[in-house]
Amino acid sequence: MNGGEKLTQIYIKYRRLMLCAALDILKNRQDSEDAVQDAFVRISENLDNIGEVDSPRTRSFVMVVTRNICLNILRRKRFESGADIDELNAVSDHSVEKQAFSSFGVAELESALKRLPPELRDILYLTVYEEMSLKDAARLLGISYEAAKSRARRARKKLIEILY
Amino acid sequence: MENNLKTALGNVINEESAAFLLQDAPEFSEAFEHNMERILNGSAKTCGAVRKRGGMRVLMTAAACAAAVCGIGLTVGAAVTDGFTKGGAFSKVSAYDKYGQPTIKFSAAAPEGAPETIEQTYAPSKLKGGINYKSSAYMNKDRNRYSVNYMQEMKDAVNEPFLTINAIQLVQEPKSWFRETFSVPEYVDVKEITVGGCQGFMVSQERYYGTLNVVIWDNGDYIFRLWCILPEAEAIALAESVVPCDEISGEVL
Repeated sequence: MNGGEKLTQIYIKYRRLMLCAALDILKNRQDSEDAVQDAFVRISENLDNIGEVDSPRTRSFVMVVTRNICLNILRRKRFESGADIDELNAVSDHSVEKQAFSSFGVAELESALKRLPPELRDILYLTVYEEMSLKDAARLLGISYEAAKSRARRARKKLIEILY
Repeated sequence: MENNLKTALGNVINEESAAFLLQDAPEFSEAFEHNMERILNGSAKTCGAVRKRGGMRVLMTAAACAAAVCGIGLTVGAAVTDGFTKGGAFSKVSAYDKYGQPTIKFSAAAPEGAPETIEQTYAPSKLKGGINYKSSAYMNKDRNRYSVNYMQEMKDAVNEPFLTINAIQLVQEPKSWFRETFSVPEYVDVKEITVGGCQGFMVSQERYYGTLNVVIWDNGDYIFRLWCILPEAEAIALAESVVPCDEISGEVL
């Protein structure tokens, strides 16, 4: 399947899911449609990261991309900058976090992850589960590399706070 | 070491996306379907030189190259005469979509002898001066929808809203095939205008990236819709510059 065919399959399979995810955040149909279009443009640039179209993994990936585009739109509408001040100031020790997570089982981690804000959960999903580099994740989400790096650190820090 | 975290992340996100799969989504608007058609099918057909402009490498169409060299605007060809014969009934009707949301529908009656398929394609000949576009054209397999799309080269496309990349689109459909035009929500501004002497409408809607203006008019054989983020006067001027074009490239003849 070439790139164009894959993108068409993704469109057929997931466009309604993406619209629902966008409406859930933006509550506005026009903005939601625009967000879904933006998401397809992003996805088209990252087709190498997508395997089988009809899979939970692909479904989750497109939802994460859509959700973060919607959050960017909300942020833009509120005239905020692309990176929150908190993100730029977040500092944490990565090695301590890795050891901390290994102490917990999957169920406990799931429960804690559900309490994370969606954008923090999503950066972890892209960097840990999808094993994307921060640079690629930043590009996909439409944020700067520094913002992605800070967001990832803040996500881990927040997750530790919840777990402990 | 992070296997548990990885598994947990996969499970949580999977559960969230599965929940959205079960929800009932409203129908997509025609604008969305058109734009997605361009994303899925179109690849920009460009020709001409690549030159530096303000530090950006900008792809120019052949017409833009010629115009830039001559120092004139992009208006090509003689005065517009082909696109604006008088049309038949073209009216605006208020209605409700299947979700009970108010919409405005436009309907048009085709005169006898009007073509069932597109026999002559059209494109705007006058684009905003100083802005360089990549253009692409697309005819569907039934030959009852033709679109010419103009995308503006952006330095960093990732951080720009989608529609500023696909800056202008002209959609053409045979009036005889066209039983009623697309629906728009009632919370847009709709006003009657004339385009080259033909009856038309201007549909305006505020989006987060600017004011989306759609000029709709009827030239007797075809219904045209020009989508753009341009001021109203410029949008109408662009609509009035529509002339016959080459079907494959979308370049004006």
